Amino acid sequence: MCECSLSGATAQGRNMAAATASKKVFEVFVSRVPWTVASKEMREYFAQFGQVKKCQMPFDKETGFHRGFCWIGFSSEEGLQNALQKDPHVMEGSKLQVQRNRKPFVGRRLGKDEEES
Amino acid sequence: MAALLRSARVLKLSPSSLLQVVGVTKHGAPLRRLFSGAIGGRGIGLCTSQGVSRSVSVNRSWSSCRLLWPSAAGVRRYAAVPEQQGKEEGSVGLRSKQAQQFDWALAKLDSSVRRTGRITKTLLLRIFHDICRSGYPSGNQALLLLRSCGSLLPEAPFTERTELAHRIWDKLQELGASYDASHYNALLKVYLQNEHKFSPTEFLAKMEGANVQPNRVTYQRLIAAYCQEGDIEGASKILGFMKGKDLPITEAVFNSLVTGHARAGDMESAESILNVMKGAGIEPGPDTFVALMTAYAEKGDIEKIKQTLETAEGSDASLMDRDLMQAVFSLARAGHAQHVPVIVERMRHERGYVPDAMNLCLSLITQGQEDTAYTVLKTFPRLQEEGQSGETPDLGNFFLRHCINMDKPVEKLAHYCRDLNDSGLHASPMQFALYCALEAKKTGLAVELMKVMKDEGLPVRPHYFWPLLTHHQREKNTPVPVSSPSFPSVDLSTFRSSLISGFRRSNDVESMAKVTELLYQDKRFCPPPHEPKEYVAYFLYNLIDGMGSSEVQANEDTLRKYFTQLKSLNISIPVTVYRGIRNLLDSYHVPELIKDVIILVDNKESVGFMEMRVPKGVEGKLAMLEGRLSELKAEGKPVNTILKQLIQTLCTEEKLDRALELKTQNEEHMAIGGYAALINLCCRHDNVDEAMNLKREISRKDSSVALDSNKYMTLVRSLAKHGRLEEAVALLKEMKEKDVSLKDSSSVLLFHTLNAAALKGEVDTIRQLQDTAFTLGLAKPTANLCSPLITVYLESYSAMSRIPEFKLSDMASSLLLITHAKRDQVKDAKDIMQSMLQADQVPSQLAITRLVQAMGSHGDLQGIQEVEEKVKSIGATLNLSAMVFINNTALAHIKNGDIESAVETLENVYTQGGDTNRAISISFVFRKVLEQKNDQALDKLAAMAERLANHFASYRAATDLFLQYLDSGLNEEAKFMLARCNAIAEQKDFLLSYVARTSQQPGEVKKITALAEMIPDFTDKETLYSYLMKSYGVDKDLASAKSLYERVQMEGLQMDELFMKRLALLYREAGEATPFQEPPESFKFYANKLREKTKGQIESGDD
Repeated sequence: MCECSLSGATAQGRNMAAATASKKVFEVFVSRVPWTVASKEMREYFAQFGQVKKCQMPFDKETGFHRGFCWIGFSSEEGLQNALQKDPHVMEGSKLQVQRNRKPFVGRRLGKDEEES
Repeated sequence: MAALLRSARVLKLSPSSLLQVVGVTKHGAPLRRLFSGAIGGRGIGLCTSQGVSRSVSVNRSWSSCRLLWPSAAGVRRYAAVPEQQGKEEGSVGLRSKQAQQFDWALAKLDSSVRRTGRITKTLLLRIFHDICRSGYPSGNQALLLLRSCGSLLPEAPFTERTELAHRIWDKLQELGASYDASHYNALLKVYLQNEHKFSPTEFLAKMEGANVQPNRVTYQRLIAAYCQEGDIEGASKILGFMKGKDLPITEAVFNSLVTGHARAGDMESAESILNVMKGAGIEPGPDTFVALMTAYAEKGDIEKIKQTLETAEGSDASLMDRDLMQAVFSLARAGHAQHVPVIVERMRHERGYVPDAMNLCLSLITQGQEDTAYTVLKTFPRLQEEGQSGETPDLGNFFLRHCINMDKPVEKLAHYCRDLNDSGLHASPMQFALYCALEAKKTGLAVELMKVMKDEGLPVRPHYFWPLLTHHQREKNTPVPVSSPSFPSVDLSTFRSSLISGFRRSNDVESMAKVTELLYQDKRFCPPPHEPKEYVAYFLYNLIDGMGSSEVQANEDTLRKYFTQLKSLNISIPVTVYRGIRNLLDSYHVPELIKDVIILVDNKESVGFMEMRVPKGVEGKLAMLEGRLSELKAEGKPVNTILKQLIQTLCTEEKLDRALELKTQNEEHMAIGGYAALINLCCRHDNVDEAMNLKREISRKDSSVALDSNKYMTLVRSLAKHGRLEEAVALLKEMKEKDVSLKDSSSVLLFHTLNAAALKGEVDTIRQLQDTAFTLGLAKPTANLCSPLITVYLESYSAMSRIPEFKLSDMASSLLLITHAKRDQVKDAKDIMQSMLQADQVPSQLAITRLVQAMGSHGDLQGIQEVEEKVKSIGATLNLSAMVFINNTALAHIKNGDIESAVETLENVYTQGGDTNRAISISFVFRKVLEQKNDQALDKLAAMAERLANHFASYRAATDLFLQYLDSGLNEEAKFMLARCNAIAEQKDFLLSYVARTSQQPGEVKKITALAEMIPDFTDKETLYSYLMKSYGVDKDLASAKSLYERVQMEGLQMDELFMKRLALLYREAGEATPFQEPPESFKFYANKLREKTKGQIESGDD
């Protein structure tokens, strides 16, 4: 009886996990990005943690500089975890702030001044 | 500043009240800022009496008062004493509104002065405009603004500052502000600080005309103005006025006279003023000495400056850093910058040094003395700048930014950047400078900086150009980046590609067209021999090519407008390139757009009935290039580049025949790059004859030309494949002659060549190629490159048909032996050893070790014995540890189930071997037994170790076992062992030797910390911690390293430089600032030092 309910709960949990995983976006939000770095360099850097599916780095159309932050999407949970485990993240001498992106970026419309690459 | 205003008012009303003196004292520093500033020659009329002067000198450091001066309190006080303003400010409501606004403006300016001792022109202008917009500027607001136009603006040139003061004066007057003597005095002050030349008599006349009575301060400042010009006569005239009105002559007047005489060239009189002062009962104050020092500085008399400093020291009026800065400024401006270091050395770095020194630097830069400013910059305390944030150093950002705002030449900027970087003051000065240039939209400078960066090997990325492009996109009327004369001619391709990426992001057709027009018109972008229209046409082609089909489709309209715009600017393109563009557009399925390109073609008749076939994709590109080639040929122009491009395209497309045909047609124009591509293609198509023909052709043209190593190796591979061994060897020799070294990738090609031969069993091929490559030194006989031969050997051997006729080298034989041993083919391994010894070859130490180990794990006692004897017969050359045999003999016994004999063998080592054997390690046995989980053997061996320790005082075995437990993560067993045999903790050398080895492996630090915990009173903690730090270094674990450092400090241990160096490296790698001075020498240096120290420590291997 006891065993039965336990396995039931586990199965349910697994299903839920699977459901969220399919929708889940493995994204980190990176801030304090030095201006010298663009999405190409970001991708290259974060590729060491796992396959980078997307890199979204908004540029300010007025100034032509990026806004100092970006979103990196990994194709797997593992990449995300690897990236989160490393600390500090240093690029070109600057310490990046990397945190899990709590609000997934899905459905967000891109402005003209934002680049998706 | 609120306090400033109030003080000034009070000053006017009751010049000698005690209360007022207190007020000035309390707010002394900011007051001084507005009145005289750091740089603008102080000594000029601030204080009414000696008493005040003294009290100010007590509080002379700006920063020391900062905390004492809450702005809100100042405002409140100001509001609480409106009657002291002595002025009508309109209705109560209006007044309160003004007060509010004033409050706000005040807070802004106040916070700026408070933090930095300066105001930016932008901030000042914004407040000015806001006050103007309110429509009713008050007298106090006017005073505030006027006083901000002097040395509080170190970033603005003098004339600009004065102009701004005049603008504010006129505008506020126009808006109804009424001026009294304080305003005129403020204006005078600004004149003095800005060295503005004016006629004091006219100034007085103007005041009279406005019906404003000059006061003592006015006269003092007019005297200062005359003195600034060295006009003693004029100063005396004003002095006469003052005496006539019975106004007191203060220290400030005397100070001005010092300056006046000095500027008139009469140093003697200047010096004598000090005695006159004393005669009048006024002690020379700090300002007097500053005036004197400034006079000497202007003459470049450094000795006298030093003397003055010493005199000042001796008196009550000792000088502060800020006073010395005045001397620095004067020296630099008078062209005596060489003396600046002497003064800088004397700075005491008092509190507030940095903001003051920053202002000095900014003023110096504004005055064209940036080199002196740089000298000062380098005296900045580093910790202050590196900051608490732990970021990388970036000292001098303000310096670089201001240099850029002041349009300093790029060479200087580059020099400063290099030096900042080399001195470790700034991690990325060049990038920061570029950022400032981009931010300031200084296109020319930005491009120059990028050029320098490129030369220095720093990356220049396409997005660096975007700020420039957006700028020119926004300001449509200002011309385009490329119009700057400083635009380099070298980086054209970078520029074009960034332009293209800019265009792809833009939909501002007008700007795009303008930029394109500039490309068309500017010779720098269209260098001969090609015509501008060709450059533009290729630019368009590349733009469209780069966009790709979907982007072109999505932006069809934008492109259409762009083409139309180009047409309106009379830009045309040649028909040949048009064809290429047309083909591209056609392949993108936007045929409509083709019509918009046709209008750009210079010779439209040729378009109308062009060939009907519309080639697509690559064919289109090829057709375009071919068209271009024939056109250039027809015009008799150079075709080398286009030919190479065409050949390379054909090669990428694997069109060998067409490429070869083209080569034959254009033999005389062929470049090496084209040949190289062809050779590669021929090899890939397995046409080695043609490849060699091409190779010979190159040699005919120019025998000195070398291919790159990959091409050579590709050829060698093809030749080897076809059995043309001689030619292959000849090519290797040619590589050596032409000094072509084998890169990693080409070394891989060599391996593949050898391996291919190995698979076919071509021993000879392998041997010849190997011999040649190794003897010539092209490649080293690595295991990888040797392995193909072993493969062949093994193949033939396993067919066990016949012993191959060739002889392996010592190295290859040893490798083969190891391979067998690892595969547990003990008999084969033994045979090889046998044959090696017969052939007078010496097996490597590793080969023997592996063989003996294999025998041990097979229980082959006899084999081990035989090998041992053979090795003994070879002699001591092998440097092989006797323990290899003993340990493996023991293991062989264990394997055979004879634990007693194993114990006996091992025990004999310690009990009968004498003292030399006491340090011998039997870790290997313990490790194997632990691995095999042979508890029975382990029990007996443990008992043996204890016995040795307790009865024979021989602790090596026990220590080895303890360490093996530790190493296997069996910490409980290790603790147990330690408890049973305390002496283990004292085996410092054995333990440290283990720690030393472990610290080299990543992820092993747990073992060291476990050891440290188990033996808390370890006798040599310094060494233990040193290895622990090394281990953290290997693991890049800064956090643990930090806490280790804390622990070390807590325990009061003195760590060596290597420890500190490793910690510093961790900090650096993490991008954090090192909170201590990093040891200056290299790792190697300190490692050697340590080695010297610890020479004689026992090193032990475990097998």
